[in-house]
Amino acid sequence: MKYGWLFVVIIGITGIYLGIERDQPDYTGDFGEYPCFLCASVEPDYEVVVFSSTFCNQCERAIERIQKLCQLTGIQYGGAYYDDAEESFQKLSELGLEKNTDFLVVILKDGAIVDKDTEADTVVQFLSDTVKEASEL
Amino acid sequence: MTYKTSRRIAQVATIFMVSTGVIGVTFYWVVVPFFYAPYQYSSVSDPLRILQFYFIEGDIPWYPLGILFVAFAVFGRGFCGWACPFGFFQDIVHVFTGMDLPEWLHNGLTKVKYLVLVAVFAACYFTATPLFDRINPFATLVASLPRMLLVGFTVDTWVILRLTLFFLLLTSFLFVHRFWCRYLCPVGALAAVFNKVSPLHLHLDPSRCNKCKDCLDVCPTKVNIFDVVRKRPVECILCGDCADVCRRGALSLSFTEKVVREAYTSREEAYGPLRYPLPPDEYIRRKYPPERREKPPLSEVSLRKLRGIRGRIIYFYEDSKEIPPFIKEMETVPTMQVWLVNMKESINLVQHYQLERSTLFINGRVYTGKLEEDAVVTYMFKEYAMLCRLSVVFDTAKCRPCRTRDCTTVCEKIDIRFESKIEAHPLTEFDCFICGECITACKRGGVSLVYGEPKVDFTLNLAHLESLQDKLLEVEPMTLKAFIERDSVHCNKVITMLAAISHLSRGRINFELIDALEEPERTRAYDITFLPTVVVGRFKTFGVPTEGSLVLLIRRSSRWKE
Repeated sequence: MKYGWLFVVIIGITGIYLGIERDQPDYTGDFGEYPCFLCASVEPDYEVVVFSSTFCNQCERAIERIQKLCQLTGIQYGGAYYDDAEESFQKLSELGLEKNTDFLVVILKDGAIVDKDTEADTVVQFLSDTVKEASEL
Repeated sequence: MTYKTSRRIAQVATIFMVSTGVIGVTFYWVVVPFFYAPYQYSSVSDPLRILQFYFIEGDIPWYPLGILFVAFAVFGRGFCGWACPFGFFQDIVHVFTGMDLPEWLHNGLTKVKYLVLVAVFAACYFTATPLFDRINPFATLVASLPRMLLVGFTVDTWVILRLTLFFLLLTSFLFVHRFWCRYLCPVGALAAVFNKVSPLHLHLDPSRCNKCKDCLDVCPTKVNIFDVVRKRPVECILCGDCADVCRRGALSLSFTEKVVREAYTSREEAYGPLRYPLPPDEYIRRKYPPERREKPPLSEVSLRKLRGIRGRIIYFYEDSKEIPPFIKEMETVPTMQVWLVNMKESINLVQHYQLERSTLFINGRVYTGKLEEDAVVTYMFKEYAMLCRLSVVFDTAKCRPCRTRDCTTVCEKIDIRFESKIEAHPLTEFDCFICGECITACKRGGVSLVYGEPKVDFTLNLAHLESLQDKLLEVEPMTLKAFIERDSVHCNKVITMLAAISHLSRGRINFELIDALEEPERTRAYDITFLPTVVVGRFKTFGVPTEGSLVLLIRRSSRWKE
C-alpha cells in the first residue's frame, strides 16, 4: 500500500500515452473549447452549414469535427454541401454567398449569417469563438 | 507561514491560472483535477464535462482519465483543499461558524456524492447531453448568474431549478463549512478513493498529541483526525487547518511516511542492564507493527498505570542533563501534558514561583516525594483517582448577582449553566487539576470543592487567607495529608481550604486527600480518630481548622524541618 500511489501514477501515465496515440489531447482541447450553453442557461439557436470540395480529406475531418461539436453542444447541424451537388449552388445563392475555396463554413441565426470561415484546420476554434461571442458566453 | 495562508495564495493563484482566457491564453487540453465549469474567461477544461463528452461519444477517455489519475494519485483530495475555486468560494462565504449537522446525518450524507457521480453519468447516458451543466452550481456562479444579470434571461423550468438549487446551496455554505465538498461534489467523490493511496497525507505525531481535540473543531469536513494514523480518511481535503490549530505541532501535511524518533536513552542506558534476558527473536512469534515497537522505553508497569490518566507535569530545570529520562518519556503518553522549563530562560516564571532549584510541579503543585519513576507514576495515579472523585460546586445563589464573573475570567474551562441552585460538575468534566484559582477568585465564596454530596454550607475566610499569602510564600514546599470521608460538609470545607492555600502558596503547599474509610491501614498508621484530620509534617489538626491556624501549623512545620 505504501507505493500504491506509484502504481496508480504508472496507470495514469499509460493512459496519457494511449490518449496521445489516439490524438485525444486534440479532442480534449476541442471539447474544452466548446461553448457551454447549458452552463449559462442559454438555448443554442444557431445553425451551421458547410460547403466542401468533393475530394478533400482535410475538409472531411473538419466536417466530422463540426458534426461532433453540433451533437455535443446542441447547435443545429444544417448539413454539408459538396461542390458537385446541385443543392450546393442553390444553398449558396440562397445565402447570397460565393465559394472560391475548398471549404466554407457558415454560422446562421434565424436564417441570417452570423459569420463564415474558410479554414478547415481551425474550424472548431472559429465556431466556438464566434458562437461564444455572439451569445455572450 | 501557516497552511491557511499558503492555501489562500494557492487558491487565488489557481483562479488566475484558470481565467487566463481574459488575455486570450488558453490551455483547453489541460483537464483540471477539481470541480469546475466553463465560463467566459475560462482557459482550461472541466473534468466532468470532458468525461461526459467522451461518454456520449462512446470513446474511452484515456488521456483525461490519465491526467486525473496522476493528479489524484499524487495529491489525493489535496486539490479540493488547495486549488478548487468553488472550495475557495465556500471558504469565503462560510461566515456562521460553530454550527454543523448532527453526526448521524453527516455520516449518511457523505455517501451522497458517490450517488451524484453515478447520477451525472446516468443522466448523460439517457439524454446524450452533459445534463449536469444545467444545474452545476459553479456554472451558475461564474457563467449563468453573471450572464443573467448583464444580458437577461428567460424563465423556464431549468432556470428555476438551477437558481433554487444554487441559493439553497449558498444558504447551506453560510452555516456548514464545505457543504458541497463534503456531501455532493462528484469530482470530490472521484478523488476521494485516491486519498487512500496518495503520498500526500495528514501526518499525526502521537507523541506530541495530547488529545485536546482542537483539530476536530476546525476540520471543514469533520474528519476524525485520530483515525489518520490507522487509515487515510477519504473525506479529508488536506487543507491543513487542523495542523494550523495544533499548538503542539502534532499534525502536518507530508509526502513521506515520517518515523517518530525522539532522542531518548534506551532502557538499558537509563536503568542499567535488564534483569531478565529477552528470549531470542525466533521465539518471539508475534511481529508488532512499527508504531508498536516505537513505544517509549518507559517501563511497562508505569505505562499500564498511566493508561488513561490525565495529568500536567511542569519540570523546572537548571541543566537539561539533570532532567530525569522518565519525565521526558512521559511526554509520549497522549493524556499527559509535560512541559520542561529552562530556569535560565524563563526568568519571569522562576520569579513568580520563587524557585531556587530544579522543581517538579504535578498538576500545578510542587511534588515533594522522591524523584523516581515509580514514585512519581504512583503519585499521579493516586492523584488522578482522587481527582475523579471530586467535583467543583458553584453556588449559583451567590454568583447570580455577580457581574464580574471572576471565576470564568481566571479559568476558561468553567461553564456555569445556572440550571439549579447548587451546580456540581465532576472535575474530569472540566479537565480540572485543582489549581484553586477559581476558589480564591470568587470573592463571594461561590466556588467550592466537594467529595460526594455537594454539601457547601460553609464559608471560607478568603480575605484572611489572602492576607497570609506572604507568609505562605516563605515556607518550604511540603505535602499535607488530609484524611477525609465522603458526603461530609466539614471535609468539603477542608478540601476547599487546602486548594485555596495551595493556590495562594503558588503550588508550594501540596496536599494529598486520603479517604479514611478506603485506606484503613494509613488511617491506623497515622492514628486518625476523627475526620477530617489534616497532617502537616509532624503536626495534626483534628476537625475543621480555621484558615489562620492551618497557616500557622504549616509555618511551624516548615521551621521544625529546618
